[in-house]
Amino acid sequence: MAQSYGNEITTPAATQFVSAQCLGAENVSRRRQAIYDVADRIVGESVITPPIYIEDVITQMRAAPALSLSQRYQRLKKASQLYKKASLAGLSPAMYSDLVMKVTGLSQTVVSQSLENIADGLTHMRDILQAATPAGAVWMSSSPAFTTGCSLFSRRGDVVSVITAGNGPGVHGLWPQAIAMGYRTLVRPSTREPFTAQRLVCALTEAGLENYVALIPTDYKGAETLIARSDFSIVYGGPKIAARYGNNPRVLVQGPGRSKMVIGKDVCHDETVAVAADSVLSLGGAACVATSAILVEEDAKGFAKRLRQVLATRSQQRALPLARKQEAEAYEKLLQLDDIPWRYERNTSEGVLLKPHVALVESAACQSVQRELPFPCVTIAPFNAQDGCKALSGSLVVTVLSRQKKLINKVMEDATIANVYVGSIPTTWMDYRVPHDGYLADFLMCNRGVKIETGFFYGDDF
Amino acid sequence: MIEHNFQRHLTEVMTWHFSPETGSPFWLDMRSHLDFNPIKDIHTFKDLSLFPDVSLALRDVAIEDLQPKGLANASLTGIFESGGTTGKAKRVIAYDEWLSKLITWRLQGFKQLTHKQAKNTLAIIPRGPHIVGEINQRRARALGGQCFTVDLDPRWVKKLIQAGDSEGVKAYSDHLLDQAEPIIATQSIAYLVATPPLLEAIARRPFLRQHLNQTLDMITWGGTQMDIDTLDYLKSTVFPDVTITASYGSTMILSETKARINEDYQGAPIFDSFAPYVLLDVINPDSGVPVPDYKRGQVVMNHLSQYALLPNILERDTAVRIPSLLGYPGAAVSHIKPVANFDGQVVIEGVY
Repeated sequence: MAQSYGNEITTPAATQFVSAQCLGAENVSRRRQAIYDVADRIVGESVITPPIYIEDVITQMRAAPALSLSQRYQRLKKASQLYKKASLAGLSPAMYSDLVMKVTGLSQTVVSQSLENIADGLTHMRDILQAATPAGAVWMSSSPAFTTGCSLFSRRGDVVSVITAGNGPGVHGLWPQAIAMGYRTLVRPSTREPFTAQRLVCALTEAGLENYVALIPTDYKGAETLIARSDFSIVYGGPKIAARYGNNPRVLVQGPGRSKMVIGKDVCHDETVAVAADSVLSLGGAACVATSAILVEEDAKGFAKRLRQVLATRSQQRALPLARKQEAEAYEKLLQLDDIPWRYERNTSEGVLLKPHVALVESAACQSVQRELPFPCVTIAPFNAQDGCKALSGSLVVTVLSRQKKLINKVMEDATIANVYVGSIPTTWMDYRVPHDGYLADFLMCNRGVKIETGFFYGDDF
Repeated sequence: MIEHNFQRHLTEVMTWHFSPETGSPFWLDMRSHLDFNPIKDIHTFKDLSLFPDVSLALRDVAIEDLQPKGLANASLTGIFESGGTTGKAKRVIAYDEWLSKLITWRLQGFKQLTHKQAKNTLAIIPRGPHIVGEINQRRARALGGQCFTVDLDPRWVKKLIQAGDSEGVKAYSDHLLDQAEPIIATQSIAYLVATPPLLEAIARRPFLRQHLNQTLDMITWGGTQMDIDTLDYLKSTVFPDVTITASYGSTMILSETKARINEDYQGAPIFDSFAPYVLLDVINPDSGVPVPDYKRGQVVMNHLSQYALLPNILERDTAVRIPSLLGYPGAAVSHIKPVANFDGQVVIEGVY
């Protein structure tokens, strides 16, 4: 019987406390959840917000006073500075980064970079949304385009909930866009790494967006309530989450990335192995845009050998991600049947070092080509037009390293591939003007035809 | 003193159920299968663990065989069945006299305000074969009012949950509240009895929430567990003007327990049983040994009266053991949770 007969409520000696925050108030529950670092030490605890509270908060947020679009942009900009520089929830930027490194096992570089990226995103919110706005659409009702008729780019609902993941802080770069759009945004932080969400919500709250953002640490039941009661949800997770919510039109699943590269026979392996290694190692290999499979048109075996060499060298130069022992054990089990099985380092005390792993398989149709683990782990397979293109379908990012027109066209034509890069571009490349699995506005906004005769109505922002 | 009285009570109950003149066919027949003599060998609470758990046999036994011969002329209230949470329902019988005793005990210490206005109850709970409905009907009258009911079919809800039909569960919950709303709007209701998910659903309806906060004296919740944070929020924010209490019971003990007044354990109610007739224990299910006070274990229930003998029944719940009142053997319980898997079946709990 899997039942605990120990103490009823665990109250660990926590160092960082994550409470619920909404409408400028803090809420604390009796039940708590411990937060562990990669060495299995408790580094914090987070509250477990009950569904009944979540339902009330959603009702209250719907009714809370609204801000105009320009006010929201202005406050997001202010939040950017706070997020980057201020002490929030009792943590300086350095203390925050340190804590995130401890629980995710990611390197200082990855965590610092994501701090910068999220802050930059908040500053450039107007440009980000402009890139996602159709050419015929406007945001403001006072636009002169109304007299001739145009599209009013409109929110499809008022409340969005975000069920985040904890593999890396990068996921928090996306949802602040919803606030800019005017959505009341409830964020359920990951139980593994709740600190980025906490920091960001604190920054947004201090910048005057307390009616637009809420931090809701909760359990499975609470997450279900968030999804059920919000107008829309963004849910991060693996294949299980995708299966559960994939058909729900109110849920945007940010699920497995399965990003890949194709190495054409017309390019030299010497030139391509470096960008391949970058794509595998970047963001600690923990992000959905990190490459998890490489299809090689000529001499896959030779390419695998080269990549193994390069990754081994690079591993000595840069910090590799760490994981909890139980995670490393699970990966080891999953990878035990590979051509060269992966084994984790036994003699580490501060978390287990996740060495890069390269698996070589016979065919692009092999299941492990679709395998995605949150560390530098890549499967190499031979590419041919049939199996290869099929294996690429549904990938988040595909980088084609080839000048062959036919091959590039074939990949371009497959609209199930969200992002396509051609040339020496790592799959982890990003720019805020470029959609990443579509624009968030595709899901949260819609176009409505509007024409207003002069003199009848001068609106404000919607 | 109580120890001595309890021993006497136990001997009386054993003698009653295992004497051919007074016992039931079920127990008289069982006696030959026991490897001990219940009249001679059962002296203490601990000795009750010698009895096999007969609850599975209650799925098939004819109800006539459950009636003690000594109660041939007593008025039988009816036949009641377990919820069917873990497979086929178990059947028991209850006598009027027992239920009267139980209600008297249940309302002891309850301060009733003397108003001229009727103090009616609305019970949105199972009736039909479920004893909880009968108990609440009687309790409502003892509280000086009538009992309005909305019928909750717990077995249907469990089926919906088992099928993963959360839309269906919500529709059923709405269906129940749609029936409750006109009663609340037109009648004088002072006491509400409902399950935790229904209280949460009531909180979602502004009219019900506001109206009940003004009119109710007391809410009693039961039927399934409620986490302490939800309870805190109901007390502090949703129903700040209403007394909230709880009940925890089982068909197998023909009764409810009673939440201790003005005392909780880490935010959760403490439930005392109707001693010496109903006694609870909290054990480690692997060793059968009682867990220490304030530790979690699986709940064991005993009903020991002339109306029924149901000793050593392992329940589907776990709980934290709390010292009992008045020095009776056994324990009080708190922080009830269902075991994830019981008797080979996955335990389902829902609106109920």
